[in-house]
Amino acid sequence: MSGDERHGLTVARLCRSFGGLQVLRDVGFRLDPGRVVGLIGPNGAGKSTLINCVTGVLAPDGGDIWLSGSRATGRSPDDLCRGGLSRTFQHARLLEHLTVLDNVLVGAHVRGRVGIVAAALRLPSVRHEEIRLRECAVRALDLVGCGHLADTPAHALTTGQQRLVSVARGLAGDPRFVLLDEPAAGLDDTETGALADALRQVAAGDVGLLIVEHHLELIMELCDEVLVLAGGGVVASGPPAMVRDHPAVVDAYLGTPL
Amino acid sequence: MTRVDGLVAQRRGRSAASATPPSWRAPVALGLMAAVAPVALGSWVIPLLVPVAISSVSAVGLSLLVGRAGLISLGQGALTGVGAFTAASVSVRLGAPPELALCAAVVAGGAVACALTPFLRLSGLYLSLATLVLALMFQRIAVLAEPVTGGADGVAMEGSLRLGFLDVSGETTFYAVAWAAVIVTGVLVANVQRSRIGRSFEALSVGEDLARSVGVRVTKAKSTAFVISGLCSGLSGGLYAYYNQFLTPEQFSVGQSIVLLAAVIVGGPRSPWGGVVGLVVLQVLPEAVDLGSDREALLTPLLLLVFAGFLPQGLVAAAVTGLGRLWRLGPLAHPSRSVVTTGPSERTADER
Repeated sequence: MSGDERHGLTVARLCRSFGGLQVLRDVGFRLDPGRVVGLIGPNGAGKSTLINCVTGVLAPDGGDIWLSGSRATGRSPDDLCRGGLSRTFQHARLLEHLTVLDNVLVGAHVRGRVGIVAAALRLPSVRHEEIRLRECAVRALDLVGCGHLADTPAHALTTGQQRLVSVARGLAGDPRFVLLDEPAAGLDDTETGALADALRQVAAGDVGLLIVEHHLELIMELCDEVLVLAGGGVVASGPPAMVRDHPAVVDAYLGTPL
Repeated sequence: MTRVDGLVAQRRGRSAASATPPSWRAPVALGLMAAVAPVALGSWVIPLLVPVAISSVSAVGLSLLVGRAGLISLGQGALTGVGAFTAASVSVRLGAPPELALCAAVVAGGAVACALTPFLRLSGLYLSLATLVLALMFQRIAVLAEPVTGGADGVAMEGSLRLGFLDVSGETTFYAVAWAAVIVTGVLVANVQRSRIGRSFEALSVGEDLARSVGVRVTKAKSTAFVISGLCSGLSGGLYAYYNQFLTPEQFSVGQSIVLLAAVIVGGPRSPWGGVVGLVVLQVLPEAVDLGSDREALLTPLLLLVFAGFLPQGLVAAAVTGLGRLWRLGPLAHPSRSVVTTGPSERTADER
């Protein structure tokens, strides 16, 4: 195993079928810390299935996943999260009755250690941990440009703000790799710009990002590498400039050259 | 400095970064009300409010399950029964002192809840059904376990509750001890709710996949919530045994579980104190206004339907929101408070 593999997220020959329908066929990619990889493809191409397999929600039928040098195939999502793999969902799924900061604190769960007895008795260790977790959550919120919303109830947010807060929740656990499922859906241009800036900053902090997105301008602008999935297989991969003109991509997904 | 932390310098000191201070308003208010009620209303309320306090201990634990983790348990009555019969067995058969019997009741309630762990892999409806089956089986098991429970004839306690030098045989003393138990249990549960463990329960209520994605071990979290509710119900059962002095399996029916669930929903499932308010509404008001047994029997299901359908946040949250609005709009309102903001003042009752 090379030094790179010990630090990266490697997916090799991943297969997954639902009944007789093969949704993923020998899909592979590699994500290194600090790199941004985009995953595009038409609806039904298998993008969400790929994310669900990599994050342990679905068990792949074949293939291997390696996370920071450890075999991650078959591990549970919570175990992978503790190993540094975080994800966001297509829908923000915030707790609407809680404040924004409390929602982001949910994502900082993995950083906490105190037990139930200490929590019930509110021992000093709990208070110290709460302060530390809140600082983490505030930083994650600042990172996505939502620091000013910390005390706002989640139900009062716009769709775009909800998205950004869900990204902050994904970052609050200090992950090494984050898989973002359509983070720009429902965002206006300003919010998309803020999201792109935030994701650049996150990547600059040595965090690897895999972004599933239909917003092609964002993908082409932000990513170091783009994977194109169609019919369950990778039809093209490489730097954005190369991928956008690839004939297979134009045929399978884009329709017309960008 | 960690990865994400290192990206953003601390630009400002922020109150949000400090730990939420404990709120003593609710337990202090409850303690004051419990202390004032017999003086203001007369001693006739004591026999009504002691059973309310005993059930409230169980309701406090149930609120954690229902309001935070989004899990519906119909087995709290059975867990209360486990606590009650354990206290009776340890006290009568083994001759143990009341303190030990109460501790055994708490442990037994938690242990039975922990034994449900294999069923916690079930979700939603099926988990609720499993707790309902527990409730249905309990009475039969209690009848069959005659050496421990006295069977269908029941078991009589020997001696009254005594905690150290405090003799709790009088109704007034029991009243004070029972309400103290409610307040202590409520504070402990509220502390859990405000911790990282409480937030893991919140994540569960959104969805198990979300909870797992933030690192929550779902079965362990569910088990923890159930065990806390079991410990509370065990204590409730132990207190009930010493208060009632006579136990039969029928006292711990599915109906009792439904009353507890209804109380939590009516009072407000997100607050540990919601179940207390719900029990006062469901058990004291019908007696106070003399509704009659038939109307009383209808009150619980009707209120359960009304609150579940139209006021799911419950009475506590509705009252706090309503009072907050009155305060901001009233003549005493500070100019800056008259503007409806989306700041911390909009937080729901459970945050207070």
